[in-house]
Amino acid sequence: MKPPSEALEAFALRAHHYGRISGVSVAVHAIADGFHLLHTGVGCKYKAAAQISTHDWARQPHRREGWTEVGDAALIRGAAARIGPYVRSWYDRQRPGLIVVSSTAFLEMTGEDIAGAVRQADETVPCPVRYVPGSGFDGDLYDGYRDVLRTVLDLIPWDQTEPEHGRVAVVGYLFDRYESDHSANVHQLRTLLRELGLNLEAVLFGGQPLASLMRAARAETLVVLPYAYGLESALRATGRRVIHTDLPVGVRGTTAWLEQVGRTSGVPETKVADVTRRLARYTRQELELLRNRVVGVRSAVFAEAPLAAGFCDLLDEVDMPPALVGIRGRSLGDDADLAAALTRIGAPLRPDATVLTDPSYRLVRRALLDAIATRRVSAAVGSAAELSDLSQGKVRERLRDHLDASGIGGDLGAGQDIRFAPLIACFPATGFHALHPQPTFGFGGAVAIAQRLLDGLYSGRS
Amino acid sequence: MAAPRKPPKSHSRRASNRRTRPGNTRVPGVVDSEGSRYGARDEEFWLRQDTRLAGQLGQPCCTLSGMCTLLGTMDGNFSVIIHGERDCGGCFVSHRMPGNQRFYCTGISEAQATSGRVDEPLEQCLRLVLAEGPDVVLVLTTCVINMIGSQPEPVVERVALDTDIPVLLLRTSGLRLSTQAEMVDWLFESLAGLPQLPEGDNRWRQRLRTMLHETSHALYADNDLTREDVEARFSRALADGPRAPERVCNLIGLPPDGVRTSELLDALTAAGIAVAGLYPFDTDLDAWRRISHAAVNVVADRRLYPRLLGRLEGEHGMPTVEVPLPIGLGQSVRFYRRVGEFFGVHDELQRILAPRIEAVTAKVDEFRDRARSTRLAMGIRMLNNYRVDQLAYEGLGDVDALAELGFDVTLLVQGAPEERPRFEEMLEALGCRLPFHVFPSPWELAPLLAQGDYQVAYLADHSWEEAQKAGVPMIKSRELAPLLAGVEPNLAVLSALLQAAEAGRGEVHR
Repeated sequence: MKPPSEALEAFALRAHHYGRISGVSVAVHAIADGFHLLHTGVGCKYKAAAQISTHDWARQPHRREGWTEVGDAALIRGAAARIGPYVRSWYDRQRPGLIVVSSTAFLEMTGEDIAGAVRQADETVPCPVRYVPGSGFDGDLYDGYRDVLRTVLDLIPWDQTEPEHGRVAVVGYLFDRYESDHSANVHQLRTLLRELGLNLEAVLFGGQPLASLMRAARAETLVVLPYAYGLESALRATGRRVIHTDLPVGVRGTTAWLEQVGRTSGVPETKVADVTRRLARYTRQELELLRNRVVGVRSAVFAEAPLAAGFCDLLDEVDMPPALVGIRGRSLGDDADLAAALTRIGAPLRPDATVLTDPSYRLVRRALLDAIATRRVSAAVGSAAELSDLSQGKVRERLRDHLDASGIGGDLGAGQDIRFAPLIACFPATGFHALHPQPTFGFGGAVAIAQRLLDGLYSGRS
Repeated sequence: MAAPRKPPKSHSRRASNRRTRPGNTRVPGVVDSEGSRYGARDEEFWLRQDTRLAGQLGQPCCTLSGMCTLLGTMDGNFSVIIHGERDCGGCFVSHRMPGNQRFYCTGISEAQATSGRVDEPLEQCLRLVLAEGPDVVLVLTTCVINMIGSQPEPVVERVALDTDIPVLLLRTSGLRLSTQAEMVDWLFESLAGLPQLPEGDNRWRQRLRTMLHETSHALYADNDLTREDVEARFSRALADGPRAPERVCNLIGLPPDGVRTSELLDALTAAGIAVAGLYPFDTDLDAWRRISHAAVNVVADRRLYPRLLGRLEGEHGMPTVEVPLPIGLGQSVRFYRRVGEFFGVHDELQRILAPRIEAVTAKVDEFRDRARSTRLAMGIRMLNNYRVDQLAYEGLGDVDALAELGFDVTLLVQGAPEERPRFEEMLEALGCRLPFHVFPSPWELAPLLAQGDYQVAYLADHSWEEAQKAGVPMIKSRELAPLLAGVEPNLAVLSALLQAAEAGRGEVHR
């Protein structure tokens, strides 16, 4: 097999190939009474709820998605006039708290006043109707999600509400399903803040209806996670104290998050130190069980830069340092951003680690199989996009194909000594569903992930 | 704190919408807005909309999305280029597709689209892909490419001149609202139209290849498959002697089938009929490039494939045998009868299958006593999954299987309620006289299920929530296993469904 062409890699389908529409869809799904109206072609429906439907078993996203049924004739005659009737129709059917209308490249290229049509429609139903442009030429899932965050920030009555001391709202939590992994993450955020004596008022977004998100106005402090990037002016307009943080993932990551939030919120330093020392010590004791059994085991991580930093931190903490990292998308950062985030929390990557930014499916597959075949990697944390095809039942078959095709040679024999534990921990997580609380955030998340790694590495072994 | 609401206006803002009300019945709580400012205007809009959609049978489909979905699950050394904006790389659920590494996107920019300079990225991408040495390249277009009037044909033709690799350009998009059936037929005809591989004496290889494919897929899906299962399968295949060329057939549009549960290949082989390929399930690119090597096409619902069969009958002189979807006892028996009669081996097939038929007939009779008169709601036109067995016979392929078990079946047809007469015509044309209701969208299923007093349901997978709300246990549509070997597992699933109904539970997982 020829070596992969770098020029062709630029055209290959990304493992994180989601555009803005997918992000808008995830964000609207994260608002319990949100409704997403697609003013698009029929195929765009597959970029939205269809991408979430097998990921979220707890709540069917199709139920809160509509389509204005644009076809060629509508395009010629002008399609924007379709928005009003559909908005009114869907309002009557579902009584949503918020309707978000998104569009797509070919409709936006017509120059029709889609924003104007949405404004007009907004006048005709009781709930707010907002337009989020969905140009398909650029942007990704995180951009779309962020655009809806901005829309909701603008709806919150900051000026009409007095902030209350000690109350916090988290802005920029990526809530993509109603299963217990995300409710556990929200619980972790609440618990961590409570340890500092702070009260969590609202999470944007956390699966609550729009009315609950309005409670964010009571917050004195907005803790802004990396998914709420590029919202400086909207955040400034709130008049609240704003703290930009990394994600509270991994032991050092969570500790750093608590220290930053505590310090900036005016929590006494001794209290912050007590809390972090106590919780980190307890967590590290729990992690010992795994650490003692994975000597020499290296790992791979596939996630957007901020989450990848958290996972890398945790894996390093349990002595499974990443040898391969794939950064999903670019809008949340590249290899330099990952390195900076890891430096901030004191968990830099090993010098021999390979970092791929926004890799394609083919590059992910090739790099991961190479790493597994050469025993560089024995476990991976990522999404179904990278790992579903390498589940434990399939990895040997894939390895055999890979070795045959690449001419690397090497006899796997029966492959008995090939050990690989894939751990699906972020969107899309088809193949992993959470019946009970399994967070990725906070100290609880560190233990939950370690538990899954232990299960993955040692299942079937005595 | 309340969600932001706007102050009430003088007019009612709850527009009339015929599509919000199944059968135009009033929905409680919805204010009738006849005479409202928007009501009349919207009514006009919906009337125009209904006129536009009249005459379309299936759910509209984006041909790009549909083809990517089908090609993403097909094996073979081929590449697919999506020519258009980056976003359209997400028009199919690629992370679930084993073939996602074969996809590329030209990722044209807004500047390129608005200036019409989209040929250059296509040529660059196409040349790079061809340099990798695939057997075939398919170029699919997006809405933007069609909207700006770009003509990729000259680029593709120019690049193709420098290579022996076939390059297939299909002007796909979501702008023309095609049906899934049209899209499927278009793709299949295009694949069958690729240069056919030399025939040679490779029929035994084809058979073996089919078995290997089926087995590898089964292994992929079922890690419990034993070595003995696989060995037994191949032993039978290799023991098979040479076949007369006129007795080699393609099976087109049948449901996917597992190694362990299938008696199909065994029975046909024993009767002297060889199967060259199972299209489209368990089929790879090479199988499409050998489709003309068979003598006959055995097809479930020939109306689905006018273009494909036009090519196979016209260009290759291959006759078509139309068969029912072999789900349930009666349809499986009719399926074998049609095949047996065509090849003149009816008696032989009967003899081979008699013990199985006898065994499952007794079980069906027994089950019928239990299920008799159980009210079952069966949803149709609810999915856009491009599965041909779902599309066959307008989605009614499972009706006979359920009816023969004694279920009192009512159809729930997703579509505009105003189109009821057209659906009635369509069902009558298929000989279906079952009672039916038309509902506009899945979210209205729960009240419909509750009002209909159904005990069990057979619905699209996304209907779990609605069925649960109605307290009606359901199984996923088109999950019943095919052929005689499928009858018993189906009875087990349906038995669990009846148990759930008796226990008052809302769902059954299969």
